Amino acid sequence: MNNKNSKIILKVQNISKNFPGVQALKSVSLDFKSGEIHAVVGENGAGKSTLMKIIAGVYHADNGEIIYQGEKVSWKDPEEAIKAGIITIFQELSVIPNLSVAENIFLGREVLNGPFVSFREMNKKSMELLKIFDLKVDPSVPAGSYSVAIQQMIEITRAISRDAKIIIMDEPTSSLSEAEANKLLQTMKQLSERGVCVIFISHRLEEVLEVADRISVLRDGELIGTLNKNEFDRTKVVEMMVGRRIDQFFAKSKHDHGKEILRVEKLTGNGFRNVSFSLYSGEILGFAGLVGAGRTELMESIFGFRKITSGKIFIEGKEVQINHPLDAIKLGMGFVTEDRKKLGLILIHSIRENIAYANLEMLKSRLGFANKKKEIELSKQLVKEFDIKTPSIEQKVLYLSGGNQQKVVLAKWMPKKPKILILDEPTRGIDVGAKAEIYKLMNELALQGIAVIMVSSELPEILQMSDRIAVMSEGELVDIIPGKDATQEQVMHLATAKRKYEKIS
Amino acid sequence: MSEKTSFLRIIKRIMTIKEAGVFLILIVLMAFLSIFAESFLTLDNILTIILNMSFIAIMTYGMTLVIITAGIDLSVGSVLGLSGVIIGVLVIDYGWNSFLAVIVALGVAALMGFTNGILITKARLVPFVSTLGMLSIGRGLAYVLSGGWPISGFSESFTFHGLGKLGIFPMPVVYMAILGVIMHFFLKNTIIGRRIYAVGGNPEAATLMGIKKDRILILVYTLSGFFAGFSGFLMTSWLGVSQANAGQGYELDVIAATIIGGTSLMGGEGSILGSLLGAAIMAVLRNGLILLEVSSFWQQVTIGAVIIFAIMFDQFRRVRVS
Repeated sequence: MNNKNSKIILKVQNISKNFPGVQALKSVSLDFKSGEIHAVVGENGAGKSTLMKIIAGVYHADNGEIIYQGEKVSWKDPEEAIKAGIITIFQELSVIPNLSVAENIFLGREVLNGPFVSFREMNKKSMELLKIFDLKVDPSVPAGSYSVAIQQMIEITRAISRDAKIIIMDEPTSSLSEAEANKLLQTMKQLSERGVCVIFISHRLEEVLEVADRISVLRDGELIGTLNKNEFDRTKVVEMMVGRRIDQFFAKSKHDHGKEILRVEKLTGNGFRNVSFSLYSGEILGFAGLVGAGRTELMESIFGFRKITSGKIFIEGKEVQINHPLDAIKLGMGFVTEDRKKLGLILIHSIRENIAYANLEMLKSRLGFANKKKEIELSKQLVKEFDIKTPSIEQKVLYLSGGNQQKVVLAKWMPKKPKILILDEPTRGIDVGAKAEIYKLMNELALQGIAVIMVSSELPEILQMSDRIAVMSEGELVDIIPGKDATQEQVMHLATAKRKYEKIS
Repeated sequence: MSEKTSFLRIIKRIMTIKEAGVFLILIVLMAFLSIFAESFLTLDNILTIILNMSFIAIMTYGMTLVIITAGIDLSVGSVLGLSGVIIGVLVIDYGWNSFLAVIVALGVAALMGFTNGILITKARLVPFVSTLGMLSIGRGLAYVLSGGWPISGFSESFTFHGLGKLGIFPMPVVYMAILGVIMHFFLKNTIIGRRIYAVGGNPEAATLMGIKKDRILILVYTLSGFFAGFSGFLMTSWLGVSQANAGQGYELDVIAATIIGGTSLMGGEGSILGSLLGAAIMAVLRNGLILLEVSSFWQQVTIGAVIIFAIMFDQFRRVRVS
């Protein structure tokens, strides 16, 4: 490859981007060259996707410049970036399954014969394009009849037919088998040989190290550094990804190991396989892993929100059947969901109503009717206890800040006095102060003897809060390690584990 | 200036009460009609209006619950017709006791709704499709059972429920009031009623809070069927005839009344009181247009425009409040 001499095609300079409550990118400057495979890596929320979306014209940067082919540009919309040759292959495929392969490739730029679409011409041209990658695909067949991997290739072919100069691939291998992923990596190399700049985002460090010419590491919205091929080193990349963050606001207490309260044996379901672990009262068990490792699916299944294909769940030693969240709740579980807006709260209703919905049975009057007086009493008490900042308990939760919303989600479980509390990404999208309060609450709950499961993609949080850390990778529980001596590197290695780790557990 | 701001605050306060906007529309409409249509504001005419609205209003009690769950029930008009025909066939053709016949008719109507509920929750049909199918099935069955002929010859004790009066109030109005109070209380003050709001506000979140969503949905469609059946009973009793085509197209009036009354098609919001006001607006409007001697063709145009206006007003109100 000739990337040393190849010219810079795209330069981003001092790019910053704010979202309400978070600074997603802080003055990032990076350059990309024609004919290189440039990997961008970082933890979840490091700002990779935001940066890509700015390059592709989906978002506008608050600050900074994009210089493309020597000219300063400012995309009005993604369409403009695509026309200029910057094409993104998204995680979710954008192939239209019931249109033919050729129609997909030429979507929006159909080959015409007079006023009519010339299918023969389109099929012929598609054939030529598909030959580049050695694909045995019939262009006249509906694209949906091919595998996901082939569909991805069809998308890439479409990009090439549009004369792409830069192809951005966001986690392209996440839904592929190993063989398919290898084929895709091969294709990426072919693309770079044709002079295309491939920007590659992946959580799978192994494949990044194998295929990339350069690796840029983002962390908390900042560029930590760019490594050239001769500087590649797995440990170094991991170190750059996790960094050393001082989080003085973590307030961790030591928890005594109580008795076993929950045991899961060989649980298998959609998104996870063969997971076994025990949970003890009074502990915080952290679940680490990358996005898509199957942690949320596992927790939702334990809670009865998803179906389990096989495996057993024991509570206090007794095997239980959980077919609906109501079963789990009756067994003493509470669940704070990852997506509080979609799953945790009824946004258009008030704080009081949300708290009441989870506790209607408890709050009913002697005659069995809903009792507003008791609801008001309980809501006021919880708002005070959890220090939820709101003008009134009748405020719609829609208008609360993220941290206060999360406190409502947490608070509504408390009247039930749960024995097990599952918290899925409890601090996502909330500010530092509110985070500290959530940590404090978690500690208090554990000290009360509640068994807490905390799923989190933020390593510092996992390390600081957990008594034990369960690490998942690609649907399997790789290992459970004591929280005391764990390091970020150790957890990250397990979380990005390749198949060799899979036999453990 | 402070007077002005406090006045504005009071207005804003009133606007935050959900039913206030609808009530305001109703008052303005009635004020307008009392000025321009002489015979509008007479006791007789007002009683006619509330009698006319009662059949629709009773159906909105079920429809309100359905729409709060973000669903829709297109089958209510057909269920009304079927219920009336069942009563006619059982009482006149088979000589059944009319009380028993009504119970059977209400049972069948509830069963139609229950079937909708099952199709929506278990077979995962969207409400629109399931109830559209049931619209056709219900109407078809009504024709099959009646052979298409009107059935008449009911006893006075049966027609009392439609034609009789309690004091000055026609019986259908009395039923509308009693059922309205019960349903308002049911929706606002019972645990099940509260769960209906929760499921409508966010079905996944409600499930994760331990609410059995499917049961709630089956219940609301069953109730919607029941109330349509009840309206069929009252209408048959009022007309003294059961006809297979009774209630044809009523689903649109019922849905319109419900959404004019502030029940959100997005789910999670709405009330029986609002729907009652919505039904009143529809009835006042029809009555007023007749009194103003507007041709029946233009009446339809006007009603359509009012529906759109009322909902735009409601959306405007909502944006303002937030």
